[in-house]
Amino acid sequence: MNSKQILRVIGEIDESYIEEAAPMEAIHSKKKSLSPALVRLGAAAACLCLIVVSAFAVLLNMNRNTVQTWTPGYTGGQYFRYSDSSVWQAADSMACLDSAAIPYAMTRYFSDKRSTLEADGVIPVIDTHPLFSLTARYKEDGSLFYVELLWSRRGVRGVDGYSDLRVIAGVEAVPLIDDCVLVETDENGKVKEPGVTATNRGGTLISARGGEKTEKSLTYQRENGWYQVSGSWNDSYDNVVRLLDWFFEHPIDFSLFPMDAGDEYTLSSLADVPAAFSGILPDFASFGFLEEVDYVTLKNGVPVRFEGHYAAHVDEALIKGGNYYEEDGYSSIHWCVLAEPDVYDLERSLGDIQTLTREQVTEILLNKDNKITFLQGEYLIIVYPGYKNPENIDEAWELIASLKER
Amino acid sequence: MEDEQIIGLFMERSEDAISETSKKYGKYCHSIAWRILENEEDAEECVSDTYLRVWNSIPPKCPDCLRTFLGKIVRNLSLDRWEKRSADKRGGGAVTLILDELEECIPAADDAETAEEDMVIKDILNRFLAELPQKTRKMFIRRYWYMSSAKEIAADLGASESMVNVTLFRTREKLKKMFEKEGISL
Repeated sequence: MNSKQILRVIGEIDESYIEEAAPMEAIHSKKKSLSPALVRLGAAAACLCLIVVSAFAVLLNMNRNTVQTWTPGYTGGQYFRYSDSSVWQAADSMACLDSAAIPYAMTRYFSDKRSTLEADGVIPVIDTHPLFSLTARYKEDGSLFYVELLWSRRGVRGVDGYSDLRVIAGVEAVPLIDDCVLVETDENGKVKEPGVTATNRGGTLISARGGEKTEKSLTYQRENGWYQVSGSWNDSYDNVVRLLDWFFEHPIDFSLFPMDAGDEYTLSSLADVPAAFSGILPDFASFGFLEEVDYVTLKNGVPVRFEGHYAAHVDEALIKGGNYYEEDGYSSIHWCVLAEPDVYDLERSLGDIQTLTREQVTEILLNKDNKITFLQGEYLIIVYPGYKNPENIDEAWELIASLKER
Repeated sequence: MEDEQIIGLFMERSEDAISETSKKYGKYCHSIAWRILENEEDAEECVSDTYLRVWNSIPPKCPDCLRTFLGKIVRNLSLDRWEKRSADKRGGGAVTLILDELEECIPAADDAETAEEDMVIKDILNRFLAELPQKTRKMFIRRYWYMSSAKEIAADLGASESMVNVTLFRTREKLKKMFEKEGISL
């Protein structure tokens, strides 16, 4: 047990205490309003380790009497025939007792190698999903623990077209990690068994969890590794099964992902890398904005992303301490710079900074969105003014306009 | 819109359920996520993920209190993301501070924890909280569930910041003793 675990368990205390202590109004937020854009259903953040560990809990727990036999033409619906999505969804919203217990030590990314991996037949071509990431996790000794491949698609309005197709695969069997098991208990405190369907496919047992309109996954283990193939709530069974079929026929060659070949992302700050995004960021101080916090993301040591939060019209000490939110009259602004925007970031872009006008920015921030997205040279910039009022919007515009003159 | 109506929209699988949830509880969820992550985009993602998780959970679930239901999910998702970010990169922020504080509640270190143990700990925590004076309990929950700062708690509960800090310190000490008394091998 560690403090992280206590923090988790506190999250599960009696709800009446949570309600009792709830702030009089919603806890103060740096962002004063949430736009409908937030309704975008983001990437299903189902914790990777949860998926992995709970999958093996399923394999260990399932009732062997329900095993079906695979035959050619076996459909997605057959894989999930007896799966009880209510059981697993209920469990999913319960405790993750300590996801930090998953013993990977280091992470590298191979996301930029999508086309090469497709050309080499390592991964399937999924043209319908423009986003792809390949994350590799390693143990302390540098050996590969597992890889996670994720193909994503997002709809214009969020729900439409949303899809996350995911494959998690590892080299060696994952033991049941007791403190990371998803659990749901009955009235006697007994842990319920997840509702799953099992299919024997050529001697390999495949467990299916989830159902229509919920997340769904297929998990199996073979001599060449373990796999979990999953889809988001509106992915069809057949979409998930197509992915399963590919990897069943094309097992991953894990030796393709040595740690030293992957991209490493690290987090730093402008104070540590002062040259990062030089000439790209406004001179916040000259407009009265002081930095509260900033993050610079480095990819193999090269800055690829900046995110900074600034405030004005309030005492500097309060800003530095992050304690100005109760003060009257402050302005704040959140500034992001992306060197590697994805296709959806670019879709949101209003175009080159030189084409932006005060009227356009004001209209958007007052009536349409909580942010302004535009291109500045090779970078994508996203600006979030803190308040939805004319003064703060004017200040945001002045900062943007200062960049046009460079 | 009333919570019952929003839950009804989820039950009907109406996409309006998401927008209505966002309208009513978006700021609440965002504030919880922001406190943990201190990163605008991560917080936005977690809030969006929360809506997705709720969409997946109702039905079959039908929460008694939608706000708390959302709060628990966004808190868990934000902690997940924080942990993953910490493992990948560099941690920091309010969570690090709170974890340091909670270390004081741990009598000894051992790695033999189980899900069943956590159930026991949850039960102890509930009993512990039940025995606390209401104001102290509120302070504790505000700090370790909502992750509010001592200053915010002080302002909301009509106490000085130093009083909040002292109260929290003493409460952590009590909790540590209760864990020891219960024989929990933490």
